[in-house]
Amino acid sequence: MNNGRRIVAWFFWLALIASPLVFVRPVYDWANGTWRAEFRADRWQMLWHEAPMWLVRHWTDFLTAAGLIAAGVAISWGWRRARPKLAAATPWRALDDWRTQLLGFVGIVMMLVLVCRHVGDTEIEWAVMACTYMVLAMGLNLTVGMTGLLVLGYAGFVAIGAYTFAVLHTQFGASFWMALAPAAVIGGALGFLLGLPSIRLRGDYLAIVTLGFGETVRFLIKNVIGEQSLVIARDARVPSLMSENVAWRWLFPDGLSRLKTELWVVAVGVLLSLWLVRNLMLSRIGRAWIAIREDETAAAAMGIPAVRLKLLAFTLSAAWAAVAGVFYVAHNTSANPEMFGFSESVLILSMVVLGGMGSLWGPVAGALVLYFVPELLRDRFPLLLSYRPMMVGALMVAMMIYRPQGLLGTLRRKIELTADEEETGS
Amino acid sequence: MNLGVELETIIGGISRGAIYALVAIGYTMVYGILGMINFAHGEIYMLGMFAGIIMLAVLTTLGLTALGIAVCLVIGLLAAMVLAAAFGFSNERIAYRPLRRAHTLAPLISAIGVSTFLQNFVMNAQTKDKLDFPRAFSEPLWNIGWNIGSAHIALIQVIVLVMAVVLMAGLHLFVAHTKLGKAMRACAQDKTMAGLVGIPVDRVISVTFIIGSALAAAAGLMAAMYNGQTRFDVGYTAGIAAFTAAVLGGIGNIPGAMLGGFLIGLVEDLTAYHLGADWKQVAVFVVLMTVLIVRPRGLLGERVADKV
Amino acid sequence: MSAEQSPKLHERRSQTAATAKPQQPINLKSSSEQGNNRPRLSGYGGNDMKQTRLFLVLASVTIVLLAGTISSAPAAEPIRIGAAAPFTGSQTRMGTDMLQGVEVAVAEWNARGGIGGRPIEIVQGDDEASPKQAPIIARELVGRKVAGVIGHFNSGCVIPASEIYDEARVVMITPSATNPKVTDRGYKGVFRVCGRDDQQGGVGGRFAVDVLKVKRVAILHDKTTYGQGLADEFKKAIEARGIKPVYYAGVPQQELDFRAIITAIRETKPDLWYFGGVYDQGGPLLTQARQAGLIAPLMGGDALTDQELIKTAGKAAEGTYMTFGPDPEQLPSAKAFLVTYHAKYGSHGPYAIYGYNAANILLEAIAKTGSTDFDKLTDYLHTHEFQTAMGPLRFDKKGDITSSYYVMWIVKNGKFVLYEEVKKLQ
Repeated sequence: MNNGRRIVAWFFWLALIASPLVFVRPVYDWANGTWRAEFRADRWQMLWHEAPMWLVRHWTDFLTAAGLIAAGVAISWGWRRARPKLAAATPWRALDDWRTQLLGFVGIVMMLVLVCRHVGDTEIEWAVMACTYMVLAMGLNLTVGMTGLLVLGYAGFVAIGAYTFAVLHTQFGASFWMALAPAAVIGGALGFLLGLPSIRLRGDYLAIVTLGFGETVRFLIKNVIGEQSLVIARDARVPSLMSENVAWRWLFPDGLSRLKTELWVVAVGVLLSLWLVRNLMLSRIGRAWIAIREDETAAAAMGIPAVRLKLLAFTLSAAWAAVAGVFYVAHNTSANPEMFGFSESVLILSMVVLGGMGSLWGPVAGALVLYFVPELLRDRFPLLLSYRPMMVGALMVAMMIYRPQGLLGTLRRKIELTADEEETGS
Repeated sequence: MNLGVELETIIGGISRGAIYALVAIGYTMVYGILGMINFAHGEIYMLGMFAGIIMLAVLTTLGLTALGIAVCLVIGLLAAMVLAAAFGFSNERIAYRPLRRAHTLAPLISAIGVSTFLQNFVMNAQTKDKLDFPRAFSEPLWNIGWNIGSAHIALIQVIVLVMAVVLMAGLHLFVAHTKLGKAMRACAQDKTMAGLVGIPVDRVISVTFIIGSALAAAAGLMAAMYNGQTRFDVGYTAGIAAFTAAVLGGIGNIPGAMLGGFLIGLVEDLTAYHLGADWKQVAVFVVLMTVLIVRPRGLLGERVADKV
Repeated sequence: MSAEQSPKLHERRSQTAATAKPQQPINLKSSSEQGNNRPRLSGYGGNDMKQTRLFLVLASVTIVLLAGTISSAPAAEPIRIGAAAPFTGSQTRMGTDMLQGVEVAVAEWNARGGIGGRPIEIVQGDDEASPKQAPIIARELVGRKVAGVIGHFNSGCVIPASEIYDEARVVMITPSATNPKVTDRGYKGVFRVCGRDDQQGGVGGRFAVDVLKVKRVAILHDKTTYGQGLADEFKKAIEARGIKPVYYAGVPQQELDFRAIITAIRETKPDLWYFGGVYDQGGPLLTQARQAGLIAPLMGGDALTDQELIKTAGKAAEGTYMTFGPDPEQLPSAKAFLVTYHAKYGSHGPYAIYGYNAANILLEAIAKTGSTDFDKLTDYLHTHEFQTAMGPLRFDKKGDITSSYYVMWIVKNGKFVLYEEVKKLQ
């Protein structure tokens, strides 16, 4: 019970120190030309009267949420009890089988066709953005998750790809497809350049240097190219696919609008990324990365060329981000330096952390939870988006304390991340 | 070059540097004892600004402005320091203490989470717009000034500098001559041994956070007074600059943090004057990356042993 | 710690021993790995199926929620128009002002029975004056199937957003974006009810040289599409009269500390300095200028004309010039609007009446054509004259208004007054 009392005490303490900021507001007094303090009675009112009423009115929502979670837990528990052998069999092996792969591929294609036929534009927009974030998170997972290098300036690489496209477009009229390769090359090169001086740095310092790099890229773009948005002309973006072909019309009666084509493109991107990451994980490179993450000195002692592999991680991750950046701009129709700030980097990092650093599906899950779910819930809880950074922050703290391996992380990962437990506490 | 304007810029830079020095002390103390970068320290700085401004507004509402500007500012400063100390203390207990034994990256990620949380919290609780510093308390200080040649120095710059120096001197005396200060130095040297010798390490760490946060809040309020306004996201920029200052001076070294602060302030103002305001932040980042890559121990710091 | 863990290990071992086949050795792996003796990849083994299960649960939750949103899409009865402007952030006042003007117009139409019996609804989109946010808001408004959009407020937001509106074939009427590029691109559905910066900069330049007879002019801008565009137009105008600016620079949009720039400007000893930017930066700029001893008057454009400027700068704002449209209080056609607005919202800001005009024009077009079809609306808009609260108004081929109307205002005694009025009193 001591724990419970402590939690209650902390709750009241936090409420106490937060109240001056929540309930008091400086207002300008036009008459006297001074600033007065105003007690926000409306918020006080909301806290004591409306919040409880809202909770009571929405009891069905809470019940649904609780029910879904309980259902999920029950299903997984029941599954494990009923078919222990099947549950214990690793499904990854199934993915090796070409039959499963084909089935999965066909399934996804069918789902996409259904989505394009029946789902509205708003939801497809969310899906496109969520998939973009999945690709970005998977790229970041290479350095942060698999190699253990915390990269805080990821948005800088995205910006590099985005602006490569934007500049190539405004100067030379390049289109989306033409810009992919140059963006990857330039992004990879800059990732390599960033990696060169940084690989011998410790975890914290490396993070700060990458943060500095990301922000410097953004500032250079702002100062050299300009703060105003660079707009991509319509015909340089992902094209819409209309066709009079009978088979096409049967599949897509309305044809494929630009947005839907973008969904296909980004879905292919997600699948390609998954395939690449999985192959990397199972290859010598991936295993070496994981060895470096777990203990770099031991890995080097075993003959793993740590420097080269870390550089490779930086380069690949940066190239990934650059390609995703090209798509991001094509989808968004314009590129602006503000799109690639530190908060974007933090968002992508939180997706990786939440989903599970170093796991294959972790970033996908992280992107779904942190992007898709708030958008879905937006109609019911309209204020959610302005509170999202708060939730992301709190989630990151909670994840680090209670489940550092993320949602889809493994027990082994958890042990690795909560390293020296045997020290006697003070 | 116009010498008078250069002098003015330099003095402005030193005043701003004093503010950065106070914040940098917080970063360096936490790094010295816990070995982690307190990413959320910049937000504590911002919290101090908001708390101080709110307190001044409260004083105006209660009609206590008759006490005089100096008294009101001191009350505002104290309020800011107290609230920021509370937040800093809570931050450490909630987000960092459980991760003391974890992998090195965990507290950093946690700190980023706290920083995001606090920034967004203040944005929602207060305002997304800028918050003006009550002119009644700062304008008189701007109007009094002196001219040295063609350079113009205002009273407020002197006050900021003096206050910062007083606080830093106080901190130095505290760390060098009191028992608690000695305990802090012991924990910075070797936490486990200090614990074995009987020093209450947890309590010392809490005190470190409290002092660091209070100093940052004082710096914040003075910065708000100097700039005339603040926003919920100034913590990030100022935090990076102050962290650079701490690293430049030698992370873990308190006099180094002070020196680094003044240097960074000078770098910022000189860059802004010669190259334009947009290059200010780039200069800070360039300094940061250069120091970390070329000489990670900074100017006054000890050799950083571990590189893995 | 270790003491607590041992009982669990014992538990697992005894479970294993109980359920394992007799000849099998005691298995130290966790129970989930029981069924598979193949060597695991490091960092990748362990609870794989736990990962898959969790992921399936997440995916099914998402699909359920998604299904919910699809099935609950009702047919839209009211006519929706979008209002996009900064409603949070440092330009909130001007944005809210504009919105309130639109609200007055919509309320009047609804009081008359709506259009064809359908009520009119406003969908708000907060673009925070950020070119990054603007396309996102544009997509949202398009997704909500608005008949037209009043907005955006800033030229830097209008330009990227109009790409999306044009592609989605949604009419957009901006009450305040003055950059020439907005209409110069020739998009059929883009209109504005305000002037253009080439007119505005020209008026400012002519006034500075011919009326104020200044010789040394310093020019500052906020690097946005609007601010820099306006500053450049002003520069062109004074250069056409033989005056070269003694200083020209830009400040970043979020910058609040201008001391270094002000010192540099002060050293060039200008007779007048120009700021192409918005009131949220104009206020601190003026304050800090007076504090640093820069006493020359400031001239600016329409985006400086907000009470917020006077509130921040106080006495420092006295004598500041700005170009803006005619004073609605002097126009008989505006009287009715001002009365309604004052009754509902208090004193009016600069853009309320422009929002009102834009909304009225759009609603009139919808009512007279009896449809919300893009081509019909744009044809109507391009060919008819509208009676607005600021007088009669026609659009030209590009979507600009055919009359030019910028006049000079000045801050006197804490209020914005027409320069002509001040001249008359002297």
